[in-house]
Amino acid sequence: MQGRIVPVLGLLTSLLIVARLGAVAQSLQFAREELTVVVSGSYCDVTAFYTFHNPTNSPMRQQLFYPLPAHQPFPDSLSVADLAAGTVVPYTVSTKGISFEIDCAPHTDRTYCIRFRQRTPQQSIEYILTTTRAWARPLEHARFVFVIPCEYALTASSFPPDRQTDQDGARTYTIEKREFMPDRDLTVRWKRRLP
Amino acid sequence: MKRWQMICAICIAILVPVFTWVNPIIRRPFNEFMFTPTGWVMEMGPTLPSNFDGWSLTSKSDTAYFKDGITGSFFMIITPDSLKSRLVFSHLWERISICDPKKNEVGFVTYGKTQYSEIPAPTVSRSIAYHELSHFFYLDNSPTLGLPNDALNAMGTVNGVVTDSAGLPLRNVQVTDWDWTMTLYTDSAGHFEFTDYARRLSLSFYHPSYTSVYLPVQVWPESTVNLAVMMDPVVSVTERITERPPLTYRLNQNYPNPFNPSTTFELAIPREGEVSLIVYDVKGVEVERILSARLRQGTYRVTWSPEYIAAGVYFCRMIAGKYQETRKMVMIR
Repeated sequence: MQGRIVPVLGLLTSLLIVARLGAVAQSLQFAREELTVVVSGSYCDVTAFYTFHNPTNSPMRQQLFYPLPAHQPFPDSLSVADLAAGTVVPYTVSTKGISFEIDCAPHTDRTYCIRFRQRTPQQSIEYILTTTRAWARPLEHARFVFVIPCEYALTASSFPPDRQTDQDGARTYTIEKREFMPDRDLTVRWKRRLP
Repeated sequence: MKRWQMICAICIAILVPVFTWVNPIIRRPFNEFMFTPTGWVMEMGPTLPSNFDGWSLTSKSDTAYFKDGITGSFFMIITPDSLKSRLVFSHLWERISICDPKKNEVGFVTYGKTQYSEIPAPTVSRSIAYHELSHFFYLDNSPTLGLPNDALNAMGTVNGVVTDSAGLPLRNVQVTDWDWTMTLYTDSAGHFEFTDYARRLSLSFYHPSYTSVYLPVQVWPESTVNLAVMMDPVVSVTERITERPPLTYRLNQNYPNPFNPSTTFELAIPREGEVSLIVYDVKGVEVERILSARLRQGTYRVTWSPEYIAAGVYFCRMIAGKYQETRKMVMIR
């Protein structure tokens, strides 16, 4: 008899604990990102795909902030697109960046594409990854691609490239990470090769 | 140094050579949060609904629902009295979320020694405040509950010296924090100093001749963090004392090979002259000119620590006058 009571009591206690536990709150997740930077002369063309996942049973609408550093000129052209809907997403500009709303249906992924062109006369760029911590979970997959003309050589990269390939007079460096919670930002520098 | 002098010095040091972009951030509904001697106080941001019926606060171990009839407003204050039950949570490490009636987490703050925490746990009378424009949390010694957050008593100083592996100060090392406002260079004593919000920074130290260093730093309000940073050279050349000077040119096979992150070449130079050590990839494209210097007769060890090349096969060629020798090496990641 006692042998039966103990498991039952254990089960009841577990149920009570589960009932008392915080609701299994779910929020929008920043799941994946792919950033491609094509260097050409003193310009960079940046294409970034950000995929968000809604793990909940209800649609989620959140305002996303995409910081653009105040010290540098606003990009020459900037567009935000919702890949699933195939539409351009309107955004508002503030001194610190742009904001736009993202909509994510229950249990689905939604990918947004941000494209812009920016002057990089200093032959270096920095991409802040440590803000990923604000999402409180690692990125499932992150890929960073830098395409640098062959007359330039990479001189620094805070994450060593995993692959490099040559095509059409440019060298493509690829950094690929899974379950990625960055402990540093991505810094890439290049210089013109000596003749 | 007076405060205005320090601010001027910092302003002069600010340069902006690096172009920066940032991963997207989600806006948070929390504006400020602090413990009081009798409980806690939370100030909400402007993105919440007008009515909190059915909404809840959750911790890692508990949920407490808002009392009925609570209406939202700018900088609204929530205390334990705003909830139907007591919310059990840790003062040392926690993730506190605000959830809508469907249990969807609308926002959260994570503090203390917990996974992916953004900010240390606040002590009593110190708050966790949210920077509304740049979307990060910082610690504030003078909370402004019910009012917009300010940066008063929320700034700290980071002070440090950068040296090479021999302990000699390095000047012109670029120090950059994760924010896009601050980039400065070390002075002739290898010294740098700046103020920032009391938050977690990710500092990078860059010098073209040294391997970059990346350092997470927690800034504390009205305090100074002292750092000692050591940077190893990308290429270091040391002369090896041998019994007899070399009589012929020689480039020994590098070791270790395969290598990561660094490898060493040994060169024998029988007479003084220009010596080059050049690394090529498999397509013959020059990757790096490791060495291009005039060396006197002797045996040298050249250690190379490239942080930017992909895994693969490379060739290292030594050129000294008419002498040329090539060695194959493999970089692994």
